[in-house]
Amino acid sequence: MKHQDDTCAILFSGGTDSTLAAALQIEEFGKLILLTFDRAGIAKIENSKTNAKMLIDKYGADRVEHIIINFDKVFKHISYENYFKNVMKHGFMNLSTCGLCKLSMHIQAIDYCNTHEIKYVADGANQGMNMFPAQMKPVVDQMKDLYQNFGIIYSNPVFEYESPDEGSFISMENANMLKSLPKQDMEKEMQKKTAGKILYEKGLAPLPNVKGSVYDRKRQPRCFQFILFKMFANKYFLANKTYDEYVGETVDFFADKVKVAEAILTSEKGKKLL
Amino acid sequence: MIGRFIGIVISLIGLILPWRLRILFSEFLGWVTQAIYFTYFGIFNFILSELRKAKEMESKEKDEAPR
Repeated sequence: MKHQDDTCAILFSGGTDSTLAAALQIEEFGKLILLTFDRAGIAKIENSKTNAKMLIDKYGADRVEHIIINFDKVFKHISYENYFKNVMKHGFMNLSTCGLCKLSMHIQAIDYCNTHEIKYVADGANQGMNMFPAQMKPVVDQMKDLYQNFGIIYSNPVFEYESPDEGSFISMENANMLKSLPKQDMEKEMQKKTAGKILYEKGLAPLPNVKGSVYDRKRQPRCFQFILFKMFANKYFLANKTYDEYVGETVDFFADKVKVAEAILTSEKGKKLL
Repeated sequence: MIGRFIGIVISLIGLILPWRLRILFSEFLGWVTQAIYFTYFGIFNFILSELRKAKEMESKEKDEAPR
């Protein structure tokens, strides 16, 4: 174990990616703190306790701890500070609710780590979810720099893993997803390097591909603001611009927001939000 | 074209709403999307299960038919 005496904080939703991130980090670190974040607009936060309990039962309560933190104030500030000026400069990018939400979680995680002298943070960010700002490589790099400014190493142990196949809206696979556990081609799923497959091999999931199923949804909180974000990103932005342009504008937007994040973490006024 | 128009309208509404109203608006969108999704797949699964039953009945009748 490389960091036997160290603690790692995990940004933990309870979904397959963050659960695997925790299962991988427990092999490197003496202790894990699973940080789940709650705010207005996130429902069923208690769902995150299911996989947290599974990890605690498997690895021991002395090694895994689960904490839920409210971040209403930070999220509201990050989303709406200098709003008119930001709308003039970045337009509909201000609807990157998922990225702003994740940035707010990072801010809260840095504050927690600073208070508890934790030097390592990980999460389940995955390259397959590259529509979401917080899982785009350039934005992930911006987050790493933010953490580094506070002496914390932020890593993404499942970033390179494959995403499971997403059935189209009208495919059989999606029809299967209505059932608690979806039917799947085991041989095909076991050939992939997905978070689900590794969790299954570790005895932490009943099947290699549970992503999007009722089983998966019951293990993480629910938030509908991603619909607003996807409407803007898919129907408005990507309807007449390329993905590279989308990444470029996202990086510019989050460069400004990261400066706000630093101000929150270093100023007396900002710390009142934490 | 229509999809893009709906996307722009919804985005504009979302952009001008303050924090809590934006959350409520997203909840509304979410529940509408779920209703469409589950109605569609509810009907889809029903049709599939009826087809499966009909096929099973047919093969059962074939097996029971006098030779």
